[in-house]
Amino acid sequence: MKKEKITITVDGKEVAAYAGETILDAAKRAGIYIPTLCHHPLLSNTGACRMCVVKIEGTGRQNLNSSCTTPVNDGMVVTTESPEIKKMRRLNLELIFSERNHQCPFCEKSGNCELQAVAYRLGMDYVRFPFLWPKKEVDASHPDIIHDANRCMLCGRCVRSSEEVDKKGVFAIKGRGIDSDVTVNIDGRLGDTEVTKDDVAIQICPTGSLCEKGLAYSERYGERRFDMKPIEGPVEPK
Amino acid sequence: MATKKSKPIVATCWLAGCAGCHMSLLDIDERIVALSELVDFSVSPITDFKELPEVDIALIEGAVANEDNMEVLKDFRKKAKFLIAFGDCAIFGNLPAMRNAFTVKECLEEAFLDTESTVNPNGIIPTGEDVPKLLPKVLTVPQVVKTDYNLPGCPPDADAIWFLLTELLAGRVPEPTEIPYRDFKFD
Amino acid sequence: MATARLRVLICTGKVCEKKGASAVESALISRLVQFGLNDEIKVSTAKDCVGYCKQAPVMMIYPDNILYGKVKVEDVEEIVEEHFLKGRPVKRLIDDSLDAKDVIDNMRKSNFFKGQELRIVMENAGVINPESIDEYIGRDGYLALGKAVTEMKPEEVVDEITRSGLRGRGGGGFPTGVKWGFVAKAEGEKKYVVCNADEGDPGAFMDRNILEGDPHRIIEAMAIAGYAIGSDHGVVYCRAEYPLAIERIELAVVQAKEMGLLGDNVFETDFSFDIELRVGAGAFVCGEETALLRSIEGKRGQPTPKPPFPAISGLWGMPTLINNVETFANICPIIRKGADWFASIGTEKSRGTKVFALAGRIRNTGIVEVPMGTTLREIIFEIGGGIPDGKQFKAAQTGGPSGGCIPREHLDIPMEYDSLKEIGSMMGSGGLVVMDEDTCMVDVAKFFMEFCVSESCGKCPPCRVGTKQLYDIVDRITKGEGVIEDLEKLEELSEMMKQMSLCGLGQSAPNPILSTIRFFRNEYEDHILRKKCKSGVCQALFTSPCENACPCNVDAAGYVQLAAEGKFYEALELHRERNPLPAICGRVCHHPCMDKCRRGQTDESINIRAIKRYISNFEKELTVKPITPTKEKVAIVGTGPAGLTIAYFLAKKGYDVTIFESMPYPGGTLRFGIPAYRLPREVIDQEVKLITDLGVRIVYGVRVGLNISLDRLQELGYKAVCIAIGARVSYLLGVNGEHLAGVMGGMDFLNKVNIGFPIQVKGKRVIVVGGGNTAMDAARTALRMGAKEVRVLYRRLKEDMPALKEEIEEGINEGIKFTFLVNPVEAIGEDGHVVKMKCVRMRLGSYDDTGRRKTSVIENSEFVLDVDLVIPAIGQEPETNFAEVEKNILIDPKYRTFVVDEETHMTNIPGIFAAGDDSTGPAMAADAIGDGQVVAGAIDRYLGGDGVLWEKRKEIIPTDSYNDDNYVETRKEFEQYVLPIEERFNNSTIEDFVEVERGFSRDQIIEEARHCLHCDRASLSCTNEDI
Repeated sequence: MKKEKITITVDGKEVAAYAGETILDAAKRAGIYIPTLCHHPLLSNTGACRMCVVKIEGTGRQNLNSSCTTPVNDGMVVTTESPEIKKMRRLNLELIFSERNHQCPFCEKSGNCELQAVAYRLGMDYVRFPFLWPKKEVDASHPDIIHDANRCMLCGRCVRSSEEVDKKGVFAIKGRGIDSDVTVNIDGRLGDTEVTKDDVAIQICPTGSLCEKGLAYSERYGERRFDMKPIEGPVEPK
Repeated sequence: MATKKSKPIVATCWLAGCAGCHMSLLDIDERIVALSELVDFSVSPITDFKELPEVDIALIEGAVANEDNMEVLKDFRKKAKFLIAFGDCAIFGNLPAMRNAFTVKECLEEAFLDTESTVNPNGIIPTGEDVPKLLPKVLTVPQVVKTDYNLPGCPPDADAIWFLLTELLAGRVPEPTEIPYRDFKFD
Repeated sequence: MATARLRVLICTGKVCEKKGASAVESALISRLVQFGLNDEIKVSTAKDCVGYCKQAPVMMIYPDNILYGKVKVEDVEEIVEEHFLKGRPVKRLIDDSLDAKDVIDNMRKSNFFKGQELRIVMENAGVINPESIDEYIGRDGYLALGKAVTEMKPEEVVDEITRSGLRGRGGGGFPTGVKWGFVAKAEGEKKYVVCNADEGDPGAFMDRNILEGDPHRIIEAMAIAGYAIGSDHGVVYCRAEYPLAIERIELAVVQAKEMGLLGDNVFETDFSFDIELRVGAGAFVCGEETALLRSIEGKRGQPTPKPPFPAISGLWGMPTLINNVETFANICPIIRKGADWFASIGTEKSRGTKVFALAGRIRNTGIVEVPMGTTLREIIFEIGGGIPDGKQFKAAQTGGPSGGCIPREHLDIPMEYDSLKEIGSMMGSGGLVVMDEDTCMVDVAKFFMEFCVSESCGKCPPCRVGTKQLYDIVDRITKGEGVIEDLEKLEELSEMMKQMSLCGLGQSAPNPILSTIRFFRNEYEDHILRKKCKSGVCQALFTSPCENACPCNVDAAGYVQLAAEGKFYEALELHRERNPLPAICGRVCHHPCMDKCRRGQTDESINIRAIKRYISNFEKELTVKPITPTKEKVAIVGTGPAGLTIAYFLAKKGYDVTIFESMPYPGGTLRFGIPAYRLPREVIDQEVKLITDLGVRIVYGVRVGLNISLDRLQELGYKAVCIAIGARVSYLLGVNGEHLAGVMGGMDFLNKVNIGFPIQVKGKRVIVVGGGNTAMDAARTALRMGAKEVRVLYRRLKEDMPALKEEIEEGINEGIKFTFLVNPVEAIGEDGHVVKMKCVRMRLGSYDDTGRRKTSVIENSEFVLDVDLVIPAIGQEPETNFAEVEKNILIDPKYRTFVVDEETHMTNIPGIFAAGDDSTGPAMAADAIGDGQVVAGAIDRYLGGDGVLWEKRKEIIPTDSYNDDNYVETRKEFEQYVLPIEERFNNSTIEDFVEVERGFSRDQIIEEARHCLHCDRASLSCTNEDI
């Protein structure tokens, strides 16, 4: 399909874009970093995590839009970063951290975790809300995979990749609101599914919720993915 | 302490934590000599002051897990001009806060009655006036008092500590993002 | 259809059904058959709700336009025989709040219906049988569809709707015509029309009413929309909780298809349109359009980000028009009567009418339809009949959990989209919940947050976690665990959720929090700083509602229960822990405790004041040990209730307290403002003695500011000086002639009389102006002094008088005359003495913020009364000049009270405090005692103490001597012996005024006290150990 070329303005800079693509994609091509969590280039976008919100000028609405779901229009003027937006993203990140057990020192994903890396990049030095500390089941029934719901941030990447890429449709979201959870074959166990550790769904979990067994703390401090350099975008599957 | 009046006073304390953050402070190695030229150390886990004086900078390690922690922290807040939540336990709760998914009763029973290695034929859970009561939930330092700075890390990197202290002594309060990336970590 | 003489409609809306409407219906039918009237009188088992739920079950008789309310099966016989046979309507079944003089047509004359004469959306409500398409057609049904498809082009239909100015009634208020235009222009192989009938706001049931009462209206409108945008498929998405609505819609679709009004070739044109019904499982979020569409598609009902908007990519990715039920309900009349007609109704930016569901603390609950721009005041006080039980209006919540509250000061807000948005609320779908003084606004915010927590879909963190964190913070505040920084945190997080949440639910969820903080910040601060819930809702902050309501925090539940056990001394001790003046309060207190007593919700409030009075009798036998002062010297100016209270608490704390009193006797306003027939002087002396026995010194005859200066007091070593001299300067009327001899302020009159000043009242005609306690005291005193006639002039009505009800009643019994709705305008004198009073008559107008009606002067209504003595008692202020002159102490220029710091209660001069009326302005004795407590604590803190005056009771008072189960159901008469009228006037001097109320017997008191419901036990039995 031939893509129509248009121009948009991002943070005061003119950026070339293709009609129909998202603000996020256009910004990325122009080298502008917008923090993301639920977005992954292999998957459809849902706008769930709200980290990638930007301000679109001239809409007359005060709310921010998720850049991963909003298509560009010719002449669109977008602000991806401002003190206000920074503050909002930071609060959002704190909410995510406060929801479940996102305590890095005893998480095996630490150093390779996208949630942690985004927090580093945004300079999140504390969480102003009390941690809620829910008590969720850990599913270790699978020989190669651990599913720890306590570390889930409900981004829905596993749900989408299992359906869209792995074509297994193993994961789903159940419950509502603060009681939402990722469920495996409707309250089943991971060990009873055809999921393997090489599934994209397992590889691209942004937190320590889905981890491959046997890899815990195998990399030294300083050698892990985000120890020395800040995150640029979603991790890619092996 | 009757020393030169102009030196800022630094105090540190150690609530529910493992002393690792204090170790990291010592890990600034020979720079500690330079630091002691710049500041006076007051109350800390290795000194024996009975009362906390007015101090300029306070470093608080550890989470708030019992009534004693609470009292000490509030005293520090009252007397410190600049209070730093120091390390992951102070800021996020970390390991001491793992018990928050359980009730105090469950924790005590697990610790004193239910573990296989425990020999406690009378089923006694220690209590007493001199044993500070556990809070229903472990709290972070910023949940209890207003902090002026939060330096995460388990422990915070020695270079980050040095950077922060020298900046503060020079009269600047750095943004978290100004701390070198490799030194601003949660583990 | 056979012509019927009368038509009877029985409402079988949900409320009426619950109250036995169908039983009434069948009884009526069988009775009509019995009398052979069944042809003549047609009973429509019209399963329709007229929205007058307060009178449920209701029956309407046409064409008489008579509405019978609260109809029971037993009433049917009378209705048939009297009304249907003899033509005499049954008056007793007509709601007496309807001020219709003539019962015929009472329906149209009642305020409830009068305020909503113009019905567009509900034009058929209560008129047709919703299950009959014939009746709908008989009321111009399907005329609009016919007109649209045969006479108009689709774009003309869109244009007509656009020109009408109709905006979406679902809440957002997006212009409907513009939306139709978008979908009409959008490209897609198929287009859909969706009706959003997923009404989920708590307290809102407008849409259900329309669907159940007039389903064809929606079907017709959807077909018109289909024609306009080029769609042949409509979907009604209705929540499963509305089974009747679902049934009726299904029936209506079948009927319409049978008649060729739906399906292929509507009106024999090329236009075809079909409607299917989808039932939602009742998730609130499915009212959000994108979530609703996903739900129709069979997916998880979660919203998706916009853009793309449904108009471009909606159901199955096709252009989709979604409108709410009420929006569709406006379409047919617009097409029938034209855009100009519709646009002429309402306000410039909000055209037409709006349907509201009135709920909460309001007399007439139900559904109302009013033109846009009607003020909230009109809806609540005119149509809604105001607040029941004489309570005060506090706020109204519009827009349900997505909206905000509207406080008193905005009662005149026009109900339209933009003005509501401006004050942080929203129109929403039309829920209107009214809240009165017993509602705690922090609790309201918590309630709505709890709703949002459970209804958040969980997709995005701002809503999923944000609602939970907001709820937790508010929950902590209601438990007294909040800190003041929480307010900032609430606002910060709320703002973030508004901007970042994925859909409307999360974006609007913080509105109740933001608007309650905006308008009721003081209530949040009360909970956080003072750990007080004044409305008596947040149980964790008080032990019992009576204690919470007491201005002096007296543990009423405690002493009542001790009295029930016959432990009167202990009860007295408990009382005196917090208030040293039980005998005084037992006679003159305005007993707010009794207003909040939960027993009052079932039968009668416990007569707490009577019990207090009884236990105070044991004071005579009380001995008090003096306390040797160990602390600083404190001076108090004035021996009124505030001064005595401060002295009592400070002496108990070890301070060396001296009170300076300008009069030769103690009591201040208690003695010189309140007549002896209400408060005998020996009662005051008795209680003052118990305070001086503690070691408090009273220096009589010294007027601070005249005999001794404030400076001198400080020089003498008084580390704290507190001024508590009361408010004794009467306000002037502000009319000509008020400086004539014979015109004397109410407080001034009482003071002079009580001091023994010779005032000649005997044989005189006295006029008292005002409706408060001072007015009643002055009037009854004048009567006892031998006045020939005492007349009270008041500009409103008796029920509006602020004086205690029992005082007014006794005044009437004693022969005081009242003239209401009058105002004096001039005192006319002869030789410098008043002889006549010129007055005007007043009329009642619209309601003010307190729910009382405003008054205005009736033109040319002047009249003149002969008079010898005029006593204006319209208010008073403190005499504070001396302090201003001597020490430059800041005085409020309007109320003449001291300006004190909120926290320290100190004036601008260090060490000088003010208490009671001098800082709060004129108030009740109990308020002065309460303020005295606060100031005593503040003085203690100022002098280095902890300011704690008492400990909270922690133990339950057990019920040993009786079984309290025996007292739950029954209630005995509780009448006290009152001095017979003829014995009240046997006095020669004012000191001889005999006390009117004589109290109760021991048995009576014990019996009464045993009816206490022990509200305190719930909060006392829950401790921190349970965590």
